[in-house]
Amino acid sequence: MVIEMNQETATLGKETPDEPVIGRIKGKTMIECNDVSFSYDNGKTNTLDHISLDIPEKQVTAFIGPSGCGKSTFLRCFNRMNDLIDSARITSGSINIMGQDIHAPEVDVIELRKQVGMVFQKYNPFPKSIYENVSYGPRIQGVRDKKELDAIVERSLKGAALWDEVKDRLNSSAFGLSGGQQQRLCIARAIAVQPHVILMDEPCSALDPIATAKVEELIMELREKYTIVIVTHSMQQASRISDNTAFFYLGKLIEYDTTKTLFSTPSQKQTEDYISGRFG
Amino acid sequence: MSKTTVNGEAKAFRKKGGFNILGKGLQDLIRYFFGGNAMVAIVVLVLISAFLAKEAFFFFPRHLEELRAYRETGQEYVGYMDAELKAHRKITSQVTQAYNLQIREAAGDELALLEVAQELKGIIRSAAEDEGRALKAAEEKAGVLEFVGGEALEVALADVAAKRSAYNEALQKAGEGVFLDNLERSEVKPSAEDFAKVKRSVVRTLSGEESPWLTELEASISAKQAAAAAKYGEFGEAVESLVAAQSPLENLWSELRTITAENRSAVEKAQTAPRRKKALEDGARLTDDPTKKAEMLARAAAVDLSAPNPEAMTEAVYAKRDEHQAIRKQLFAETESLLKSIPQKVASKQSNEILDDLPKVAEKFEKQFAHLGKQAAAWSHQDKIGMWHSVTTFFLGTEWVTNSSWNDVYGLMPLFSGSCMIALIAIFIAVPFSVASAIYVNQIAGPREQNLIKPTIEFIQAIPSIVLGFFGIVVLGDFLRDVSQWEVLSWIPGFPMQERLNALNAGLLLAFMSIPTIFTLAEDALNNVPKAYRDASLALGSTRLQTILKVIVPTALSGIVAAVLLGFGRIIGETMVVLLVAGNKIAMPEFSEGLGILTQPTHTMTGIIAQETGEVEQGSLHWRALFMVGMVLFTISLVLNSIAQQVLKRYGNKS
Repeated sequence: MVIEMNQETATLGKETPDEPVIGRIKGKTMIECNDVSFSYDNGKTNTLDHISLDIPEKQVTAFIGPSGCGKSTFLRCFNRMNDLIDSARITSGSINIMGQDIHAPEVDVIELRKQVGMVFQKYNPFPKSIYENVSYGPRIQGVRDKKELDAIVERSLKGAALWDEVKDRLNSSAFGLSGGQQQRLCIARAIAVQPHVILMDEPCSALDPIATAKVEELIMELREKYTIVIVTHSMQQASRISDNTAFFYLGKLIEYDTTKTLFSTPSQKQTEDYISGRFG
Repeated sequence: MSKTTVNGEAKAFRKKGGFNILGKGLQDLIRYFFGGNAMVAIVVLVLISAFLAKEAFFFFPRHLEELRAYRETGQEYVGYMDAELKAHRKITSQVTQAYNLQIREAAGDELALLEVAQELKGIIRSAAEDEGRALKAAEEKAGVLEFVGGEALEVALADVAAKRSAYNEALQKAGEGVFLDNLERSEVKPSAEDFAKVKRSVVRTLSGEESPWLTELEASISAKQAAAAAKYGEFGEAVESLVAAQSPLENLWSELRTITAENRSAVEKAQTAPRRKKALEDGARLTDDPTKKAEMLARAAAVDLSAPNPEAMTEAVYAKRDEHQAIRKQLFAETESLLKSIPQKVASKQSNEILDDLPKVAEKFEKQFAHLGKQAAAWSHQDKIGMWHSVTTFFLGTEWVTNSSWNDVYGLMPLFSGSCMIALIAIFIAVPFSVASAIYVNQIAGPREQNLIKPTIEFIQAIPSIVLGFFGIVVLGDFLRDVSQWEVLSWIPGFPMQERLNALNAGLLLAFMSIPTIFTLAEDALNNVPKAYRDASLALGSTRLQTILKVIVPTALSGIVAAVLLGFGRIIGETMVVLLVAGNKIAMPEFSEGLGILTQPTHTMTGIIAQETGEVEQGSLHWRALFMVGMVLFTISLVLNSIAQQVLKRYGNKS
């Protein structure tokens, strides 16, 4: 699908955006966003402006765009992390994950977050041991059996390609790991609760190139099992690892297409300018 | 080509003229000013510590001298006798109590009724007070007129009759107005029938009539008590003999006590002799009057500088030692046989409780008595006392007695235990409140609540401690005592309380005072937990509560522990409240009462300094003892603070 938006009419306060154009993205829809607007100040100004897009299952979808364009905000809407901020709310539209409107009153946000995991920009393991970090999620969900927890920890660390590096020191502090290892530990922690979707908010921005390569490799592997949405500043990264890419600018979705198409033949002038480095 | 240098602008980076003293510019002076201020603070702290240490540590040699004097005057030996007497009195008082209770309880129910009658008398009389006064006035008037006679007397007598009937009416009415519930002081509530009977007779007695029922009651009570005394005649005799058995020991004790006390004052006089001599000599030097000068010099020469001879002082003690041993042996034997003649079971339940306890008390007495006997037998005034003894008797001593005409004792333990007890009560109460409010304010409350709660709690710090102490005396003390008398709370150890001013009262106020300290520091610690931890935990699908309990509080734990330690330091150093509210009773807590010690009055290290420093002679042993107490407080604070800092450093947030 490609959304074509008239920049000028939108800034003039156009109520409904243009209908999405049937595009080249294939696959079952995991996350379905219809006309989503979002505001940090109770609707006075919209940080996200009428965004509609569908994210397909078991693919990597990248959000790119200059700083402050709202891509991280949009990502945080998917597991309702924005609920933590007072006066921040969705002002129009709906987000459906697996067919369920996540803002519906019957939705339990705790359950939602178990299904939609998140990895943050700055790696943030808890000040606990490696084992405790990974087992934290299952434990708060009520898993008490030591054997089961051991199995989950091993599976998750293997899933995050970290097992071989840490299996001999599971009980030492997570802070003893390198930055890249800590970030992979955070990914292991996220997949320990077996979510359907993993949101990644610039997961490599605090890492060096070698660690970045490892995390990217991991993301490619995780695609087999999980739907991944990744926000990134690096266009190279987006083109390397993602199947689809959405380009945001000033709170609006400018273009959304398969990565290949978007980077080779962007349909919008702004997209072309951005990916060729003329602004941003 | 000639070499050229740019030199025209070189002035630009040369030192400018302007402000300059001794080659130091303004910047240097500003630096010295700030550095100097920081330095002054450190120097003052060092000076204070050095002064405190100097004054305090000279305590031990002086204390040693005092302990030696206690031994060499023979006072120590008398002390053993004193302890023997005390031990014996303890057992005597138990037995006496058991006996008295039994005799009293023989007329138990009737005695209770009599008490009710007495209380009723008071209530009814005060209800008819006005009428009673009028009657009295009328009677007096009639009494005066009796000598005059005639019509006036008749009028007066009629008035008396009218007043009497009015009074009787008022009494009747007051009697009707009293119900069972009005009885406050009597512990026993009589049945409604008995109550009516008592009321009737009370009204009758008050209105001047005979009340046969009440008279009978009184007679019956004394008869029953007499019967009980007869029945337990042997018991009564045993009690009497037990009390009487003490007197030989008491007499000897009193005799030796007088002698040794005189010895002590002689020693004290000798201790001050050089100072007195010097003062007289100085005075002689300064005066111009030759006769005065001569007189002063003569007096100075007459000052006896020789120390009293220990051999001479203790002569009397040694002379009486054999007699003492004989007396105490006899007392011991008598006590043993008398205790055997005391019945093991009597009718009264309360007495039985005491009697059941008696074997244990007797055993303790025997042990203590035997030990004292051994000490007394082995005693010699020549035994050396080392410096170590001076130190341990101060730190481990269980008595603090000052301004005594007999012997001053400086033992830290009663004060130390009082301080610790109050501080522990306070910390146990303050920690849950302040940590929970810190968690609430930092993690759960919205901005509006934060803006209300935080300044309010921090405001507590601004309340002067004297105001809180006053509140403790006037309001909290009475309130606590009233609450402690509720039946439902009687299971709590120490309830109902005997005293208004006690450790619990002080502990509660100190808890209140320390809440802002602990709250603020704990809140800071929670605030220092990176928000990323919270986000990560929530994103994993944990609830807010799980996040707080499993991630945020454990991460901030070191800070919270440090906060509690600093709060403890604040509590143990607090003076005014404990001085006013803790009850100021210098004694070891009675640990036999278990947790009941919490409601006992006590004294503290800070309180004793505040209370006694004003009235001691500078440089005296007492003065130095107070400095030593101050030193202990100083050390406790220092240790607590450094532990708190270590905790923060070692276990603090590393990320």
